[in-house]
Amino acid sequence: MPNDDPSIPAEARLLRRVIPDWIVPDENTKTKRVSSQAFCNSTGENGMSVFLEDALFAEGRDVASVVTGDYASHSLIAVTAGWVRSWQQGVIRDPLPEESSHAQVIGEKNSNIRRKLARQYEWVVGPR
Amino acid sequence: MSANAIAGPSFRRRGLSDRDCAYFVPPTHVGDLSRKDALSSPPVSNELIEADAALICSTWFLPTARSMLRLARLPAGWDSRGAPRIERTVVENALLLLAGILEVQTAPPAIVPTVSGGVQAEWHMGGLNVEIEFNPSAEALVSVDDLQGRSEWEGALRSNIERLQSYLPRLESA
Repeated sequence: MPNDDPSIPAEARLLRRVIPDWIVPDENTKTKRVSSQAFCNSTGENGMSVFLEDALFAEGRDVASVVTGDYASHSLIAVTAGWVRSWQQGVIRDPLPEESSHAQVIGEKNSNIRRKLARQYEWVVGPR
Repeated sequence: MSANAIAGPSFRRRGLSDRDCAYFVPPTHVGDLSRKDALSSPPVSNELIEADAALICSTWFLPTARSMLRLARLPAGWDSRGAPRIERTVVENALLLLAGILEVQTAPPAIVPTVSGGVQAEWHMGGLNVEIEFNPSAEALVSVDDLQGRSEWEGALRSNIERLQSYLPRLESA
């Protein structure tokens, strides 16, 4: 198991920004879905950038505040910490100067893991 | 984007075949290629895609080429992080591989960028989830999730072409 912060409970919701190009049609369900490519680590890094919903709430912020400004075209999805941990991932806090709720999902994400991660998420802010 | 075909004026070129070719400018509708639409000289454009007429008339080729070329125009950092640009050679290689695998009636895949500078073609139809990932420094990978047969597999594209082709009838547009 990679680095993991046990103070983040399994039911904690991790919010992931999704660029429009990672949203594709799903004829099987007659809906839109998020491509497995949205569950990649950032280039040259060992983590996938997310935001802790609880941390946003603790600041009195709306979750949609992370998809405003430069990110206004992005959608927002939620996965649970427990779900990502079930695929050999860890979750750590990674506060940024401009975003204290920032966190990382740590661990290798090969194509198999990415597809598994993409099987269970909820839309928070749907496709624009 | 322009495309060339085996009708019309001949030009010296490189491409998917070494046959004579002609150049057309979109919008070129499927099944609509005509010699009268051919350009009189090769266009000077870095968005030129070369392919045989039969390929251009396929259901999937033009939408796929357009989608890939659009992604090749994204700037570095398109993911708001450190993703590199998608090089044109990646797009060309992806189209070349797909041309050797897909059928004329195969539906156009959705095309998404990868953070390693590649592209991924994916279909979610016919009770299947199919992904083919093309990255600049790795072998192309294919995965198939058969929701009807409740089976799932993945592997290198080159060693699974026939296996993938067995699913193509389920990836045709209605």
